[in-house]
Amino acid sequence: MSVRRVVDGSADIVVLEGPCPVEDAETLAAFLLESPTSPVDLSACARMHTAVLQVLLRLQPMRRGTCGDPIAARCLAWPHSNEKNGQAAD
Amino acid sequence: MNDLFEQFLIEARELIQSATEDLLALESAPGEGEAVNRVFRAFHTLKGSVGLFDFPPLLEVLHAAEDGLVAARAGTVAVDAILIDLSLETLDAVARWTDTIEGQGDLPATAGSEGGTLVARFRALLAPTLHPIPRAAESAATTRPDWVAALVADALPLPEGVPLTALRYVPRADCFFAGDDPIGLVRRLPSLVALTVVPVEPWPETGEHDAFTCNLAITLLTAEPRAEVEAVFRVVRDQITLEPLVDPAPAIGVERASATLPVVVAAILTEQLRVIATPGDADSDAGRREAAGQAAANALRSVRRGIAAEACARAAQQGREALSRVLESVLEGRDGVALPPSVPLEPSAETSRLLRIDAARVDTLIALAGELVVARNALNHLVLRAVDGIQDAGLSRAMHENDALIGRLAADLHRNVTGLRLLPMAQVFRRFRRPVREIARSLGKDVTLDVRGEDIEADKGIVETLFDPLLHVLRNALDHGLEEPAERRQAGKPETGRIVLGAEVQEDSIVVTLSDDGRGIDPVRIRAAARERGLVAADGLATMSDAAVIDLIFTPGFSTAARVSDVSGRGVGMDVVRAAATRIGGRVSVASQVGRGTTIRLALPHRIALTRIMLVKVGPDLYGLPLDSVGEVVRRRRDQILDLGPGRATVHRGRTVPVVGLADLLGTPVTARLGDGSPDAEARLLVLRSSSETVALEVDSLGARLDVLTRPLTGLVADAPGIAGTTVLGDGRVLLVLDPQALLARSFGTETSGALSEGLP
Amino acid sequence: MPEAAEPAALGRVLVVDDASLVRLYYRDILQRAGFVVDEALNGIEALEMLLRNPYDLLIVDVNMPKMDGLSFLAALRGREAPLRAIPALVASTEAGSVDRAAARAAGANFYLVKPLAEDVLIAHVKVLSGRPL
Repeated sequence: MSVRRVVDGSADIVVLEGPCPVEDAETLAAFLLESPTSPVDLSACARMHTAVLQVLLRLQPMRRGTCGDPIAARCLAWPHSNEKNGQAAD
Repeated sequence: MNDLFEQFLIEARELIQSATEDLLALESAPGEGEAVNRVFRAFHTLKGSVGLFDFPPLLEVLHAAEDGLVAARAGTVAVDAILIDLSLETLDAVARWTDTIEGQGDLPATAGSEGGTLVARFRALLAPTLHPIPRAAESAATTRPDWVAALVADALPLPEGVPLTALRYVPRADCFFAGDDPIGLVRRLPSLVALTVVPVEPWPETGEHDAFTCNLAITLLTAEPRAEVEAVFRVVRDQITLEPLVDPAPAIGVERASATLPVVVAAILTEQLRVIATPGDADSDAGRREAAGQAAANALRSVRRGIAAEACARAAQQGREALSRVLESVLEGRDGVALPPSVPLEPSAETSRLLRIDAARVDTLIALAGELVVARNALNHLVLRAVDGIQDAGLSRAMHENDALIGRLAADLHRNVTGLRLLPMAQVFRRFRRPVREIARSLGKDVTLDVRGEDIEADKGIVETLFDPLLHVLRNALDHGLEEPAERRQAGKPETGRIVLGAEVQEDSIVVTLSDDGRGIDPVRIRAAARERGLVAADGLATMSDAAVIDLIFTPGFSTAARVSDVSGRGVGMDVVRAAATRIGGRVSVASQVGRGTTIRLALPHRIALTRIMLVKVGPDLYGLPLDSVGEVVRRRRDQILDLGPGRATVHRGRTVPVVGLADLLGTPVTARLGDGSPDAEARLLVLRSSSETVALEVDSLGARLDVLTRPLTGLVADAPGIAGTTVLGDGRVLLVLDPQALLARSFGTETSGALSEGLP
Repeated sequence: MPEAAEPAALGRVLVVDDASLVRLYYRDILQRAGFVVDEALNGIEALEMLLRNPYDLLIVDVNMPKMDGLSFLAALRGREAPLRAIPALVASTEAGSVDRAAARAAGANFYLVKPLAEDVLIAHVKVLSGRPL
């Protein structure tokens, strides 16, 4: 599975790992609808399918970590912030 | 450069405040067009100011919010709860980040992700307007569709001299089932200048999320040749629109400037660009450049763009290129992105050092200084007469009069100068409206906040440090003080709770009170809690009055009794409140009636000024005690002090008063106590004025009373309990000024007369 | 934060024009708008006045006897700071682009073509002198 729910301290967090194919969209959506306050850790995500990205855009969960997929990271942030590390890049 | 940043902080906080107020006003009275305008203007100015520094996530968030408000002004996005909440959240984030920048010199680590979320939400709000609504007349008139304009606006500044291609790709709703990964196609374009992904239709408010129906529109700008782009998207060519982009920047610049600056101002700024670009006489070059800088700065000041004005003035000193860069960026609505060297930030732990001063106050000071000069000249004249040996009755009388005049002027001057630091309470009170609304909403309670005495002024240092402790009290009142609506109804109260936040002047202090009409604090429960927590020895508790018991909510350690605080109705972290108040020379007390409500009272000094202390000696050591904590000084024969086992007591004014040795409180070693002989037959007792209960403090000897300026402790000992601060005596010795209240609080927290040696120097 | 109290005058403007009617016209409008207005008949007089009083803005005519407006401006811009940095508005009867370019080269900060409407004059004077619009 590339979408997992793990317990971190007292809170559940959702972790995206490796390539996240189209099927992950439904799993991710189910997790987030069930527990809307759970943050999603994107740092280990290598590549995100558009459907998965859409879930994140639609449900706007709290996000943790820099998304490992640079294109997805750009879609999730403001377009002209160069990658995630805007400070260093600018 | 640091003062530029400080000016930014002041301006930013004012803008955040005013925008917040306007948003709250909009919430209760939507459709107030002028308020929308003001909010937009505040965001716009904030964005412009932030652009002077290097904080991309902050700039991006403000940019997105500005776009949202532009749409709201234009009527394409509704001014509704969603927009207002989002804008308020954004202001909140901006305020927090600004604080962090002030403290640490940089944005918090989370700014990027938090900002990204806010930006995405604004974009989602705008999505319907980005959806192409082809209007024949318009598309004929303008060469560029809306979506391209929006994309370009977001991508500024565009790389120069590179032909760009804009692409809009709206994948079919069922494309996922067809095996498409639209973003996967985008990945194949190596040189993306801008990329946005927004929903085509607004997301449904509720209901199941259909993960496999695509509702996204992708727009992007790329430097790839058009043919390349077409090749990549060949398989979905029915779903894309391509638009070549040639030299887009100038048009955008003018558009943005005219949208945000009055025409006269924009014209004058533009003219300064031309002035400095026109060759002239070499001798007058510097003058022309400075005059252009001055004219531009004035023009910006005329529309209250202080930061940008300052940037112009600075750039004019640096040179022509610097000035034209600043002017261009101001005109393009991305002020000073090109501000010459980046602004170094000196992290300042203290609150802002800059003061904004009412011009009338400065005028008064100038007038006083003038009178002082006149009076001094008169004195000089008299001195010369005295030197000449002229002796008459008139001379000494004239000198007396002159002395009185100078004295009056000096006092006036002093009063006015200290007055410069005064700020109205409104500065802090106003900041509570939002948290109250939000906390109440999150708790499902209805509450009105009644604010009084906003005009009362206090020292800047005091006003600015009040926010956190008051917020704490407020949160407690909302969370624990006020009952649920149903419970209030049952108790015969209106469902809407009422919190009154007020300030008034009482003698020489300013009293800030926060009252609620909630359930009040039940002393029975506090007693039980204190017993359970072992906060007070059982017999100590038995002799304590209800008021003293309620005062225990300020005891450190009481707050950790989470379960208890829930039933007691108050008490989470109130020790923090007391500590904060003490730090600025104030005192906190509580009054409560079960079923009627609770009032927390903070008595604060007007200004940080001289404290009157009494010198006391314990063994070989000298300490200062603030006189305002001492009610009476009495001498008692030792046989009138009774040893009750756990502690001592004496009868004073018909009441039994516990007697506590200051040496015990301070943990002075026994060997050092006796000094040069046996104790006096009479004990010297200071009867302490306290909000909770009367205690007599025994000291070895009493010394002079002095007016001193106490300084708070810093460094390792900053949190030493029971010490109000230090002061330097006339002979250079450093004197510890004690806080007897805190010392006693600790004592009652452990044993009635236990050793407190730990933690004290 | 309370608004800064309105000072007695919005600012001090020096009008440099040889036509008394034009000076009177400016004076009347600007005084009613809250400015203090001083007058000079030519560039030489203007330089003398500038050394005596602090000004927020100059309004300068081009064609004047003794010393014309642009020579005056060029001379002023070659003086010491901060005198040389006082913004100047040139008001001329000439509307040609050559005249505008010459004014820029001399150090004018804005160029208006006479006759000036009241609201135009006030707006430009306010903005160039940094007073709220």
